[in-house]
Amino acid sequence: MSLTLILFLIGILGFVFNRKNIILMLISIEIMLLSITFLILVSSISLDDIIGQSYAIYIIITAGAESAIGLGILVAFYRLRGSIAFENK
Amino acid sequence: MNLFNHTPILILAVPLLTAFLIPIIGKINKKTTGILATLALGLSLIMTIVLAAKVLSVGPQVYVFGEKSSLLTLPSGLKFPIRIMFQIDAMGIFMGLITALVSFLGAVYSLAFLDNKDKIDSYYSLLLLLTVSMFGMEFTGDLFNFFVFLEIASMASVSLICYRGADLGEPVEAGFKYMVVSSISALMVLFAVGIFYGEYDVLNIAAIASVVKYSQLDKIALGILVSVLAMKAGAVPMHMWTPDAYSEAPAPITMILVAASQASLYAIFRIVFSMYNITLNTLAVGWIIIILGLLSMFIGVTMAIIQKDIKRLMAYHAISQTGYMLLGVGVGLAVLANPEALKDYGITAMEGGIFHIMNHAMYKGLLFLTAGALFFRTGTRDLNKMGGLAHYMKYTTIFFIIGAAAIAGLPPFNGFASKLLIYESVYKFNPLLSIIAMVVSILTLASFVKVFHSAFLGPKLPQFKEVKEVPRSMVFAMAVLSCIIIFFGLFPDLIVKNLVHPAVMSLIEQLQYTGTVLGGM
Repeated sequence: MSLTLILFLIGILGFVFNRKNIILMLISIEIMLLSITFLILVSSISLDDIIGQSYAIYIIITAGAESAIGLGILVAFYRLRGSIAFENK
Repeated sequence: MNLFNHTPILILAVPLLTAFLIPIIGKINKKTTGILATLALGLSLIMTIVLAAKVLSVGPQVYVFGEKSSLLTLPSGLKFPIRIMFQIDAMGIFMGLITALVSFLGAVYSLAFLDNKDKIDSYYSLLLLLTVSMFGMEFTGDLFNFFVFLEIASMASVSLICYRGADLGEPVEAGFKYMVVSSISALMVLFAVGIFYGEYDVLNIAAIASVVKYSQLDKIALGILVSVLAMKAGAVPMHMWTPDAYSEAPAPITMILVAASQASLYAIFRIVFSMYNITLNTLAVGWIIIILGLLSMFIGVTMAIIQKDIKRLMAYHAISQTGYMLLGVGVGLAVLANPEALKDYGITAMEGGIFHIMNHAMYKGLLFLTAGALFFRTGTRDLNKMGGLAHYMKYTTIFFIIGAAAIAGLPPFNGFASKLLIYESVYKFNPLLSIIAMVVSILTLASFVKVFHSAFLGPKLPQFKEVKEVPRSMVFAMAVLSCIIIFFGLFPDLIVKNLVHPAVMSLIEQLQYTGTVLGGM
């Protein structure tokens, strides 16, 4: 549980204190998803129930699809704006 | 016929299969993709009505994927056999009816709304996927299954919001904002799922309901789930994505997004009522939901009055009406542990809140479709540039008047019925809440009078000289919604007694929910 919380906090801090570009935001979301996958895997081992491993595979699949869509939007954004830095209007 | 036993999965399978067939058929002929999608959604609508008749007469239905009984011999390494179930009770089929109707009318409207660009097959494919995910969220009885359908819904709706983004920047920005919000909400739902799995080793909602204690970890999970699903539904401290996403999406997609937000609202109610029920401190959690509702109502309508863009204005009104639903059900939750107050006004408050969900989907959908019709003919969403359109678009004007009267709560339309239920019962709980609700209703009327005057009244403007009425499929979709609004307004008693009251009782009585799953095990 403490591994989960530490990784989750790293992800949240990376998401919030991000001033450089948008890809760091997507990476932080991936780190948070990874931390919860660890929580489910560790619970699966300590409860001796194999279905936790199937849940972890489902989470990895879903996270991959979501990253694909996020990066697709990022590419569209880049084509229209010219850069992926945050703007100060 | 044996097919009737399989309606729960056919309602999801037919649009899902069509969603994957459409890109293949689209390579041959693009125009038939729209008709195919509409047929698939029409079939889903018919099957949902059949399933509704079965659920309301027989009782909650359970549909199991996996092992037929939980007592079969297990392969090694598994504690329980793998069974994912759909559990459809009166509340689930209520939301399912809304989803089926709204998606079917959205597809009919899209037949004429989209120009024949070259991305039309991906549009219909994503629309069908969004519908499948909404049905999944409303029918499922398993928390992890809910997370998967929530993710499918967010991905499909993000792609649909960016539909016009090939040469404009704003839809892409709105889509990106919505993607970040929905990623964080899916993440937090997953965190709560992880907590439940680590604590109880089951993820079936009914199974958790029978073993849940209100420990510290459960409180954390409840807090996460309520706040994050309220963020997805558009409640106020977390509502920033709603105006951008609703205004930049194409008009039929906005109507379906409203139904998707209400599916998240349904998830809050399902978790709070069927999973925790009396084990939690109902007064505290009820007041939190009431305060979320009050903030949403008030801030939504005051931000709406000053908007110039017609769809942004309607999006802020969607936030405000979500507040009414949270208020009604919050009052019901706050008195859940108190039997006389529950029978006196708690059930009526919940009936008002839940009836308001259906009414809101109908009249907000109608208003977004009329805004889409205006955009289709005039090319602009800015109220300052429109004027005098009632001379040219007579049907659209009538539909707009019906929608605006319904949202303001004027008597022969359905908004009045659900708002009256909410006012009466919330007054007995705490008079101040009812007074705030009435003030918000008056401000809603004021802002729609403003929109009507700017867009429709006034002299004929020269730049709109060739504006005609919108095509027939769009008029058909708007007409069906108007007829339903008038019917619900004239006979609200029929709907409340047959549809809404069973839904409310299936939420309140947790034993009915768990009994159908665990008793049949």
